[in-house]
Amino acid sequence: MKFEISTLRPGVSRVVLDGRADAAAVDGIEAALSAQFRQVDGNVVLDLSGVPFMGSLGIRLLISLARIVGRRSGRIAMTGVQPQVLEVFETMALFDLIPHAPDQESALALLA
Amino acid sequence: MAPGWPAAGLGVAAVRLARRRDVRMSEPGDGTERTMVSRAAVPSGPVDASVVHALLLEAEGTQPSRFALGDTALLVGRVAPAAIVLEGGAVSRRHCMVDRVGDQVRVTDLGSTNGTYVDAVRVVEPVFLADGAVIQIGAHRLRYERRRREEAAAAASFASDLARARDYVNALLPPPIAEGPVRAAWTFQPCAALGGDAFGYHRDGDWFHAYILDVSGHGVGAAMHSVSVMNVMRQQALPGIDTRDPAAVLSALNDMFDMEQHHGMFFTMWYGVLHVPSRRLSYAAGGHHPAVLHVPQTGEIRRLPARGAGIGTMPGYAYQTAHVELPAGGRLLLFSDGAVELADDVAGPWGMAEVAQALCVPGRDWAEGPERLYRQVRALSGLRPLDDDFSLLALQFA
Repeated sequence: MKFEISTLRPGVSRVVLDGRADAAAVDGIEAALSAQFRQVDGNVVLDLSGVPFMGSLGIRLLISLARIVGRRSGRIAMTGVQPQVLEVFETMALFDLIPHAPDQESALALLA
Repeated sequence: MAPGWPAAGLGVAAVRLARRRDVRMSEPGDGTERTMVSRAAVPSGPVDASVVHALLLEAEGTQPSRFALGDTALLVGRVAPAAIVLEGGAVSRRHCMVDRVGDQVRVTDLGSTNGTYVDAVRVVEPVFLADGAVIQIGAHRLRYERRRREEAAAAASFASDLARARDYVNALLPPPIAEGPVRAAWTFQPCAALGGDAFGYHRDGDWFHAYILDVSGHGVGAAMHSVSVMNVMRQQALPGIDTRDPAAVLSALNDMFDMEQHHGMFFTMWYGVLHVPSRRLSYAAGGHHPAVLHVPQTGEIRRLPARGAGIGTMPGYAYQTAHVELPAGGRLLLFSDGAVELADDVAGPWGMAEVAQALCVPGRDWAEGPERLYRQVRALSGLRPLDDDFSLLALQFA
């Protein structure tokens, strides 16, 4: 699993996760992602279009990212959630914590 | 069965067959010398005494049995005097042999009928094993482990702790119920690393309470977390909470087990309360798979919709209680994540018709259903080790 953090526009960062988010994969990136993520200011768009599977540790990672953003009064939204992952997120009511939009522009609108 | 298994790993094993020169070896124990030709690389140099070699025989729902490999070769077969005796028609009397050559370990098939496989590649010539390589003999799996002596001691101690944790969770699970208005049957198959599954139920006058939970992550930490929750549920240690109100129970647990206060761990949970005389079920879920309602008399089988935050993930989350009238003879099935994922993995997204079929075989004891379903899914998976706990709780209402 890989991740990439970039600046989407002033005050908005984009975090792209890519690959199957099973326990081993999340374990491999969690420390580095969390450390880099703490340097990010402002709002965040999370792009999950490259994630075909999200296990419980992957969900835990997303929740911890949302909590980091929330603590500094930023906002976070996600986009590109694949159908099989969408079902898991629906069951867990995860969209109550991190709202979801079908594309990047709509995600940016959610942060406005 | 999912395409791609068990051929996975084929390329890796093929690469391990480094070829250099032939060797001759004799089999110990049978009094005759049989010459085998190996084209595998023969390591040389002094033996490193700080390295220990072992074969781990992986077994269902328990820690693997460990066979240390010293100077003497280990014979694997169906009968004594094999050092590792394996049952089953696919195992030959003298199946294969594992021995040490310098600091390396190799496996040699002894002309077995059904073959010896290393990482899914059939052994024709002796093969040297890489750390973690799996020798498959029929349905049995022996994993080769190469460790420094002190690492091996630490690993053994850790395995023993895991076994104790597993036994503790097992001891807290309620016994099946064979009689009465609500009957209960279940299977609990922990993976080797412990997946944090737990469940429970109890009768309280006209009410019957049941729950299943699954902690995020694996290991002793996840098991400790599940045990904490089980003890709260067993002792009904939720001050001021009406335990007949599922949403209130989940809200209280959500406050009590906030993931920030519990090393980042959360759990999913389904909790339901049945009013036995009226068969009215009230239930709520926190991120858990929906319960499945099955009515054998009419063939009805459907998921009971439920939605809610994982317990500990969102402080103050407002859970909702749903209600359903259960028909006489109805059954309620509760699954853990590992059960659903394994079944999806081997059979495609889990068809509820298959679940019903496996659980409800005419003429077979209903109470055996969960175990039977587990065995069917395991057989489809090729008996590879479980990645996660597999729990299935079935309740039947008179």
